[in-house]
Amino acid sequence: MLELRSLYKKFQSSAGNGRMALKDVSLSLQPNDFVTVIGSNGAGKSTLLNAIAGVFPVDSGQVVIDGQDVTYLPEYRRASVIGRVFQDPMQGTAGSMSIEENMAMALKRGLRRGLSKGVSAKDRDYFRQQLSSLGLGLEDRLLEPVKLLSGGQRQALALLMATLSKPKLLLLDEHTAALDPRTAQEIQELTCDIVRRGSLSVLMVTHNLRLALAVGTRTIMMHEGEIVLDVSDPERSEMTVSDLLERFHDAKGERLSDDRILLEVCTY
Amino acid sequence: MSSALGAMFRVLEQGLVYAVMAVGVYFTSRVLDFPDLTVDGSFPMGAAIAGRLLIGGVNPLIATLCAPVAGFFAGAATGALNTKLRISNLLAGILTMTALYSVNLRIMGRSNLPLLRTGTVLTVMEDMGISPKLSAFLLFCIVIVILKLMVDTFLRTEFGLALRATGDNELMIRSLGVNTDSMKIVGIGIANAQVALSGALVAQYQGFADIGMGVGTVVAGLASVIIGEAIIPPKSVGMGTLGAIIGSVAYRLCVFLALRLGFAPTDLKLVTALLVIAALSGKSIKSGIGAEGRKASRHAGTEISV
Ligand SMILES: Nc1ncnc2c1ncn2[C@@H]1O[C@H](COP(=O)(O)OP(=O)(O)OP(=O)(O)O)[C@@H](O)[C@H]1O
Ligand SMILES: [Mg+2]
Repeated sequence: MLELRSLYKKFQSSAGNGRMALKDVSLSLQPNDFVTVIGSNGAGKSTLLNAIAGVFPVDSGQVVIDGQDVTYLPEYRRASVIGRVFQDPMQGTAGSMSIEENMAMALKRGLRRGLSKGVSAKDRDYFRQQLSSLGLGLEDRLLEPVKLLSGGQRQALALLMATLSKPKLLLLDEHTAALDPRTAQEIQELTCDIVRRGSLSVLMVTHNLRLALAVGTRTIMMHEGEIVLDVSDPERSEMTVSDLLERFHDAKGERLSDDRILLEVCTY
Repeated sequence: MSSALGAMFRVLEQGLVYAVMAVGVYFTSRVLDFPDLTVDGSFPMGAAIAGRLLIGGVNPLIATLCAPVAGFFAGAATGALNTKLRISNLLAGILTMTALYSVNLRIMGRSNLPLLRTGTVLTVMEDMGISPKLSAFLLFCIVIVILKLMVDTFLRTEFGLALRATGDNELMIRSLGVNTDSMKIVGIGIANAQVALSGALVAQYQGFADIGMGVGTVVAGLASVIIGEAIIPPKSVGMGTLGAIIGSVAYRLCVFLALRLGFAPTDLKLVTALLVIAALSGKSIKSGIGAEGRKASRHAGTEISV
């Protein structure tokens, strides 16, 4: 499904000395794999997702999606198979456009956009049906501009839009982090629902270690641009958060008293 | 009394013919969120092309329609400078505008082309038996209604939605598989096609094309858009284009009143600039009070930089 072969990415800093954001990252995903991605701030999680989506070219290595080498394809040419939801609910939708217009654009993911009507009557029925599955009452507000929605509603819509045209791969980058705890949980449940319904592979970045173990089928941990831990079910289902930290320290061969990951666990 | 009425009628005609340009400025500044200065060059280019072709004896309708074609390429050039060569949006427009000054002089062959003895779209109307008193008004009404319907319809097509999303949230629409560079190039092209059409019509209306007639077009267009937004809140695409049209007429009325108040015609650019500054500062004060959001401040910033 997704095959990453030895990806390297260095960001040039203004001071001149570059920063390795991805170091020899290889990863292979099967269809229906649901991978949670953890790691401290600056570990390279977002960079990994951006490299897969094609936001920037990688320095070396290969990105293969569904047997096709997309390493040199620009972002917009990969979009037909990749759905994304960002951390900021503002980023996943166009605020000045209506709910139905946003969904119509998502329905055309990766397809040619011509001069036929943007939203047809048939689309509208489909959108209403899809929106009602969210249970937020959005199906009655098709014509309202998206900027009138709350952050949680907007994120739910973004999630629906990301999966509307059945992408093969779903990339979620801390997509509940900007929401209040209750809304975050609702969006998380919605995510699992949507993933269960469609057959697709998922990479989900989260800072919540408990969540990372509770959902999905596999967990990878990144540190300083490298994947330092990769566990799958059934082994993973036995793990606890402290096991995870233990394994992290083993992998890095270091034991920091004020580990940033540890601090983040405590906040949840 | 009747002379005052006649004057108001002239204001209305002007408002409508410049509205074609204002809708173009609405297109770039509001739909694409791109502050486009090409307009100061593409407007006289439309006039130059139509003027030169009319003097060459070309059918007025064809001469007029050649203007938007050239305008499209002028706008597309700015879009390409910005997206392909990564030149900032303002500078890209300035570069095209500057280059167009020479191009326009080449097209015209000199700095002023009188069109009083050539046939124009207006004489064509008159030949069809329409009174010369009404021909300009009727023609401009027809043009602006057709244009508005075309723009509104276009912005609701699949392509149009992607274009609007490019102005609203580039990151998101790119993640949905749209080449936002192409969108900007085509979008700025379409806007300048409208501006050049307006220039071609204005030249025929006033009876000459002049190399200097583009100065201040962007600001006049922006003034129209801003005044229009104050009169009609742009809740939808249709309201936005309607606002630009009504704003254009209102702006020409302001100009007319300023002249009546005793401003010299040469002071009008200053008056217009002050009008736009006043409108923008009112807006930024309002949004400064109400919003601390990133989006709000970003918008205030672009509006002022326009
Ligand atoms: N566009 C960029 N330009 C320069 N450096 C960058 C850029 N994007 C990321 N980096 C750097 O690359 C490293 C990895 O960043 P990345 O955003 O992938 O971390 P992350 O794991 O997503 O962290 P977080 O949990 O804080 O989101 C960081 O050191 C960051 O400063
Ligand atoms: Mg990140």
